[in-house]
Amino acid sequence: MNIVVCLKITPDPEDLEIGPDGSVSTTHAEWKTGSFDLPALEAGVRLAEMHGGKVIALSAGTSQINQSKVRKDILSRGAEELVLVVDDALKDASTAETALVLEKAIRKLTDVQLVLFGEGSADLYFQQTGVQVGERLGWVTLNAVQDVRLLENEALEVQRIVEHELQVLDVPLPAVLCVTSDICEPRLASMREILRASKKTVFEWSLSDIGIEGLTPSVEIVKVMAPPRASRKGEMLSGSVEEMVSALVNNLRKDGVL
Amino acid sequence: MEIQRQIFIFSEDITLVRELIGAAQVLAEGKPAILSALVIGGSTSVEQMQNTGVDRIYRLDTLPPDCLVEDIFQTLWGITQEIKPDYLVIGATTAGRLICGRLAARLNATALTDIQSMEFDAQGLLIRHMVFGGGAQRLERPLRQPVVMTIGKGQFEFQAAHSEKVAEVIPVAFTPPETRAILRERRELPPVSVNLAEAKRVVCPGRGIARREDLTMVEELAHSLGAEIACTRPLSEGLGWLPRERYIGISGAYIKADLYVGLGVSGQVQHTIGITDARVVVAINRDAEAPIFKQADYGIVADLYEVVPALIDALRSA
Repeated sequence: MNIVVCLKITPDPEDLEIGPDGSVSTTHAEWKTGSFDLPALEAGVRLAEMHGGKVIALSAGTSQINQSKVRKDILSRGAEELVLVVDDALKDASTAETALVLEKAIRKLTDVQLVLFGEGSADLYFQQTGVQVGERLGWVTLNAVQDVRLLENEALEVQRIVEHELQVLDVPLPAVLCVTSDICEPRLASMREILRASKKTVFEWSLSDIGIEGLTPSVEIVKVMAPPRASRKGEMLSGSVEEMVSALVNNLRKDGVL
Repeated sequence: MEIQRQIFIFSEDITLVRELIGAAQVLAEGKPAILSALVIGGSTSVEQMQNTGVDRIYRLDTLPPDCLVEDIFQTLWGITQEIKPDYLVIGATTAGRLICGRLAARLNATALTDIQSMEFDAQGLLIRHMVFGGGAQRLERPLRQPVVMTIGKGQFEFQAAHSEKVAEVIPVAFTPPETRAILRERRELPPVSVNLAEAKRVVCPGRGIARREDLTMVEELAHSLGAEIACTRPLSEGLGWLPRERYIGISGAYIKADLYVGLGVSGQVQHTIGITDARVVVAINRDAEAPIFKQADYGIVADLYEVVPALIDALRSA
């Protein structure tokens, strides 16, 4: 069976620049695979290593996702193939549009029994795309999955953390699972895997390749701004460690928080 | 006469329901609207919803024992097909997020998650929520009807005007899904050791802590301050040194403490979003360039391994 792992390639939120007017810019941000998605990729690769099958990584976005560094990074982490649905109509796509695109791309792939997502994207973290894809495919869909095992009878045993409860479930295939970040630790690619990555296949599909003629946006982004920040004193204490500590204790006492 | 707005709310978490009604009140824009709710449970759950302005309560007694809350989807779908709501307001629990996504996909609708505020302008609804791990807020306008949304704890206040309106209670039968996961076992997780949202003082180690055993020093400081120990996400999820419920930030805890002391915390926005409501922020970090200092009331640029013992001494001798 093939396992598809969906990844979102986004501007690194750590590279976000906030202007003096509260504007937010990602112009200088490095694009990379979301940190919440890498555990999903690792989980997929481990399942394939244990039970056979192939991991196909899938991502959709504008031409900015199609960078050789990003492609190599994904393929050196154990995915055998990478499918990129690239179209500039996907700029600022909301979860509804992205889910539609991923659904159509998954349908174009053969013998897919399991689709994995991370818990949320690095840029939006709406935690919606995976569950929407599951519903669009009409497959059993679960979020908050923190352990997946393949049973012999073509089913999965899944552990899920839901608020303050752990659930153990039998999940029939095909299925879509959104896994938590602590499902497993993403591997560091070995030199061998990095070299092998450049020989692996990358498919670049357009929207029309997957049968989509035009996307209608479901949400208009009106404005993006820096969140209001509490105003802080910003007092840097100076002197020896003892002096700074004593100044701190005095200040905290004055503020009435000790 | 204008057609009344149909608003539908659902949460399996009864403590969230009043906030959902609060959100529904905003969505009604002060005009009469028809508010329906689906409730799982007995008469006490129904009573809690009476006289709150809800018009119809669809009540499902109980779920089959090997079913998940999420398996209510088919039942819920049936109701929404009947009343065709303009707005579906779902509690932002784990199950709620799953249900929201499935509803949005099946309705080919807009899903708006974790809404912080809503308003109407001449062109209709505008919502605000966080993006970039709390680094930014986004104002969005849904372009399709219906709108499916999730709302988390503490975002919308219920306007507690007593309503004379007594809701009609409509019993509903459970419609089982065609295929589903079978719940084999459920285990209560050990009770959460801490509620950081309620803590008065918080000490928060970050990546500047070199070894797990150094947390003893952090514990000592927390003890002398009467503080709870929190942490940044890498210490919890990456290193596993502290349990999940102790990390502050996006997808973690948001604190309202009088005092926050960051020890070797760099101050990435994903973390600092969780300390916005702390009254006094203290940052101790060797790196003078660490972004945390921009958001601190008091900053100490020094080795935390020197500062923390000195601070413990100073608090003891005081």
